[in-house]
Amino acid sequence: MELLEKLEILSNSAKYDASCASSKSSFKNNSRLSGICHSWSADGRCVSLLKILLTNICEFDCAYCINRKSNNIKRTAFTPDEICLLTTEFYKRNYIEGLFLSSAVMKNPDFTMELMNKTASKLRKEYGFKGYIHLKIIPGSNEKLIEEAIRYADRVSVNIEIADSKKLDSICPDKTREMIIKPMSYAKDKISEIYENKKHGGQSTQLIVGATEDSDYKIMNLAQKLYEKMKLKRVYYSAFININSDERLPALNKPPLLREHRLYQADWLIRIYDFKLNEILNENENLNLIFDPKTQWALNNLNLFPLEINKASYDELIRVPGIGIVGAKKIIKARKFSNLKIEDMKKLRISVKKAVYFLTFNGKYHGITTNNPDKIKNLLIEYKQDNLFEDEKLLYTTYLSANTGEL
Amino acid sequence: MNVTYDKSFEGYLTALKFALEYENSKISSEDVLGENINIKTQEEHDWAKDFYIELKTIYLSEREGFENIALNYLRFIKNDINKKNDITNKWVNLVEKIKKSYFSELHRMKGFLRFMEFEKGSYIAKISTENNIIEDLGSYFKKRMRENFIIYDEKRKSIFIRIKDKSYIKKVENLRFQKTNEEIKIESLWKKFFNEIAIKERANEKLQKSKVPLKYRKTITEFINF
Repeated sequence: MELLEKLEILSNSAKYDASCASSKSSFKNNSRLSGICHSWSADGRCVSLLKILLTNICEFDCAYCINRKSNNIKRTAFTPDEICLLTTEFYKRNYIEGLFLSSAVMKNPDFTMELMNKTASKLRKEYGFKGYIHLKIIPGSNEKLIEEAIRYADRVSVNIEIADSKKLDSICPDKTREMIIKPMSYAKDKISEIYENKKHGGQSTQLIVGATEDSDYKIMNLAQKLYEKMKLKRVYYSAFININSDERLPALNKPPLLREHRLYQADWLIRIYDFKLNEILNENENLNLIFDPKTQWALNNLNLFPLEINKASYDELIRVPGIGIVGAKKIIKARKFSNLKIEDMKKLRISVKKAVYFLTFNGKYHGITTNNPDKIKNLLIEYKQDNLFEDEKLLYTTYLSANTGEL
Repeated sequence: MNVTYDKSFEGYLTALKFALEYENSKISSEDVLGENINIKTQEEHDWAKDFYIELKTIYLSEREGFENIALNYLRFIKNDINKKNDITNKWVNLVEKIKKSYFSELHRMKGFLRFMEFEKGSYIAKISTENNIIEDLGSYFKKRMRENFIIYDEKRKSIFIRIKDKSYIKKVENLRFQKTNEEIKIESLWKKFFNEIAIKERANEKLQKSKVPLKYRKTITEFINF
């Protein structure tokens, strides 16, 4: 088979994996400081790595997967040299930062993992490749092979996919939770041994959203544990796409993209903004699709607001809807010279459309005075920024109870 | 009083140093109506080391009247370097804006630049940017690549050229080159990959457009002849 056709098949079948980012970690004397996107594909996702499968020949039969054994599709495999050629030629032309290599399970997990390692080793040693390498750990592969993968790669990942381990058994008859958690836990120990807390090295995982009835709470709770116990750098959330029409899975017409977006926002709040899960979600609850989780949190805690912008601490400021890490830092820097007024926000390029309901400027409040959060909700709906996701109709609900009186 | 200089970066620094001594002075690269003083370029500028990045970025932004933006900025911060953080001040704010424009375009081009092979083992890329970023961009790729390469700035008719360990910038009139056969093959592989990697159930042209603005697409391989 021609290389062009192989690439068509093996990139098409790799595209559903979101567990990758070319991030700040760098290999040897590489000069990258921050993640670089080289392009954005027609679905608006960042392209920074050559994301391909080594092969789509698979012994497993997972219900959600395009490459499952029982699907009648064209099958093929790259040779290690073909992958090395594509990676280095694409890298030289500045199409990519590196390689994201995943694979279906050919013969057995160890056989596949060994081929992947052989490819990575060749790329580093024979082709002298210094760019980024992300290797997928094949569930069930042995420890020696996992260690080898960690040494060649900037990052590795084992995908959990299904948050509920009991449901995993029926959806993926060939996989067990143990086949996933064992390599992940081993990788955690090896990464800290090899890279000793350097920024380099690390692992991530992916959870599918909407393939089972698992609540956002259940998904985020698992993510939080993975960050704490498995020292994961990132958990990726991937809206379920109904490819196989398998009766074990829900018949969704469209992937739940807005829900996926909300999970990422919640993930950010936990990782970067120091929120605790129970501040955002109650047990077995889902995230609100209308408001982002920070706005929802603020609406639930109106008693904490408004804050005086010239006095609030950094930790308080980053909890204000519409103010992020960068904005809070700018505010702290600027208010050393003069008391900030609402007009100054424009100069600082901070939008106050949302924040105005939660802040005072030199004691002056520019929002609306009310004890009814629904009134604020109505005003906030007008400034929604999620219009990039057109899959949810309920966006334009209004809070009717508030539509009377002095808005 | 108007101070004129020779358009070089060192000349611009010399003009700034000189103009700062006079309250109502201005700077331009060419003579204007009224009194003009042409200064002689000095090479040493130790005085500027605390705001070197700002002055250099303002210069490379090439926006109209950039010399006087720098001059007003310096007048505001020269007695108290901490004033660099007073971002609600008009001049500090403008300089922050210029820096942001420069560095975000530089970052963007680290991703968007596309090399083509024009003879075996040698690569060329075309750019056309708002800010004059060729020097910073060139040094970035010098570290990233082992190969010889040229970056051609179409707007300013200049090239950054790297041959083995050496690199320099020079002016050019016209640059013609042809892709190698290997190049044509690799480009079609890349375009194939780029098409396949998009998930059609998630198609979102609006998002793609906001991430890859149309003005950059004319030099990005996967967006040409689509």
